Amino acid sequence: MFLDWGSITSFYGQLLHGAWLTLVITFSAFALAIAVGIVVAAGKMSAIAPLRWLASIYVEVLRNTPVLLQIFIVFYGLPSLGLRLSAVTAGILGLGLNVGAYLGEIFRAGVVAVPKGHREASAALAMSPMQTLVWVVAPVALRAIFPAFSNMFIATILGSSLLSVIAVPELTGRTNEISARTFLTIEVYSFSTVIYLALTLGSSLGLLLLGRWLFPRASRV
Amino acid sequence: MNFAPVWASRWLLLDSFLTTLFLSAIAIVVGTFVGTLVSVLRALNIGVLNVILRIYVEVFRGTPLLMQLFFVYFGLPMLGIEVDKFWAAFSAISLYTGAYVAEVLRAGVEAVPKGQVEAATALGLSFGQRLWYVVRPQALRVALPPLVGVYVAIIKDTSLATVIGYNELMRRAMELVLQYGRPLEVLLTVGCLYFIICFPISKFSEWIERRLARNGA
Amino acid sequence: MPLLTMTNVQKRFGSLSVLNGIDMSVEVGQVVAIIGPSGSGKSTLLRVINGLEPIQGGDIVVDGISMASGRGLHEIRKHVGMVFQQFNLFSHLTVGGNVMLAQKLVLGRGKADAEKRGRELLAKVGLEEKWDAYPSQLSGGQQQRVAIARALAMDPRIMLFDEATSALDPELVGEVLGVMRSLANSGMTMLVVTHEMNFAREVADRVLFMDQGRILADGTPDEVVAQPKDARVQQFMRRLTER
Repeated sequence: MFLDWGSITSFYGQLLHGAWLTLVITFSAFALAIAVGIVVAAGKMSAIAPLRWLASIYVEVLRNTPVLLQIFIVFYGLPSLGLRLSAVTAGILGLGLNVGAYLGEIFRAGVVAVPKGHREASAALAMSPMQTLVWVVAPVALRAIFPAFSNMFIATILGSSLLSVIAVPELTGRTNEISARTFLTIEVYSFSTVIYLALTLGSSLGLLLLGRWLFPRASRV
Repeated sequence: MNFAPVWASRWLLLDSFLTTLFLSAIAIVVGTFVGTLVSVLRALNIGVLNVILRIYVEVFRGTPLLMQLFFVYFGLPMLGIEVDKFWAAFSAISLYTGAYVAEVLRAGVEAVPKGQVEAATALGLSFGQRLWYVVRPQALRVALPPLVGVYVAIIKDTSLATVIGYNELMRRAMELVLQYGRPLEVLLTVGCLYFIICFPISKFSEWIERRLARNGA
Repeated sequence: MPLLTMTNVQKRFGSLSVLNGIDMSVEVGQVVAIIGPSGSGKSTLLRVINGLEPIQGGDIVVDGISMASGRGLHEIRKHVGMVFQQFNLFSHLTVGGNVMLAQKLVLGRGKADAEKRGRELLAKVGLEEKWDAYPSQLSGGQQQRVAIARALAMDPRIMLFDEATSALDPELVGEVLGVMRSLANSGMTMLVVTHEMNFAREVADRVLFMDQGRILADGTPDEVVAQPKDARVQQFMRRLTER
């Protein structure tokens, strides 16, 4: 038994292409998740009780069942209701809806963390509720939740690998396929592991720096 | 909606549900042991060992569980180590759990004020005594809610063992889908099974978190 | 015509009545100190004037604008500045950002105008050099002076001070009172809830004594603070001097 690192060089291109698709899926799903999260957070803080219940049910159901199952429901289940989606779209939808439930809770926690005095001062300065939300509550809340927000982005990168199960050729999918075809199992999995680490650790570092830049130390109280 | 095929397969589903619970339970127990060991060893602060443990934690938290499962199941035989589906799923998920548990415990340990550890040292407590009597009780208070959160994530993540063909709940569900062609009914039923086990544990985690916050953790 | 008129203002928290039919008016340029025991409703009196607390009865008219009218609340808030006990500076914005934000959003001033006005007022409170600092980098006294500048930047007709020095370390109280004193001297109409009897005596034109949601005494500092007629006010003053 010996490892053949030389032979996998010819697959670099395919693996990097898979990594690119992983990034596309991650960004799309995360963008969807942010939108879903805002709606969920607004729902959970709504003055209308049924909206609060609806948002709570959404969060609890999505957080207490496997995301793989949710992706399967979108991909295999929705067609029986007449909605047929491509694997990539279904995967992004399933992943985004799932991450959105977590982001919804995070956003809500952020809004709760904004000191009451900030809102009172805004009102006393005659700012409208919308102006207060956009210019005072949102930036202060985002700063409070930025670490949790960053972690959800990393979780989305890792979660995108599940799309390989519905035959999307992202990084994990490509790796499986090359491994099965060539039996260079250890070599390709090692290489892809390094790519995943580069993506996740790189994103962690990038988000950390983004946070430092967006929120100077003195502004974080 | 037609749940007749699901009802006909109820014992098969229940059997797989128990398999999922079993896999979750042993992965959680072993993973917690591994994670605790790692966090204690990290507290010793031995240069090389720390680097190795750090790499373990970062690799298992920084790559998808799916990759880890494939690596163990398809990769180890290439190195001459034969693993069956159960052992592959069990060992990959346990190591994965261990990395997350280690990270949660580390955050708990770091939350213990440094001055208290120094005070304990000044009072002549040994490393073990400091860890057991000073650090452990306080670290656990901080770490308990996220630790239970990790356990819920692990129960859900055992569903990934389906990709290497281990016959847990998700695998059985997809077999039934293929057999009866009723994906929505089967998947919703299986979702309910995951929910009835995960939801109470999640609520329990939130409950301890609130209780600890109230008691001024 | 008075600048501020309150007629039969009622405020309740649940079944607890906090303001029991307040009737009073304030003329342009008056400096009114509001004193009284804690829980007497004096902070609430300020907070209903700019609608931070909605009222359950009566009306408030500021500069001819009725609170009960359509856009009344918004218009009144534009004319009324407020300074809080806890400063309430926006922690994510610099000092400059704090004094400019509402000028831009509410008054629609351009950045240049807002900055010019902001810098003028910061100079007035002696903090021009702190333009780029964040609130967390300032002392409590400095934060409160920025908060005063932020409220003044809206060119209010009336300024409300809600125990503006109560959260400050004793050695920092003076700098904030100094700013308030010079503001009073410049002719600003002010309502000041305070525990600082010296400030009430020396700076205020008029002192209100509140107890249990009512105004028990209303007169010159001499009448209310130095030689109170009402028994409750006498008792309160005695307690203060005993301490």
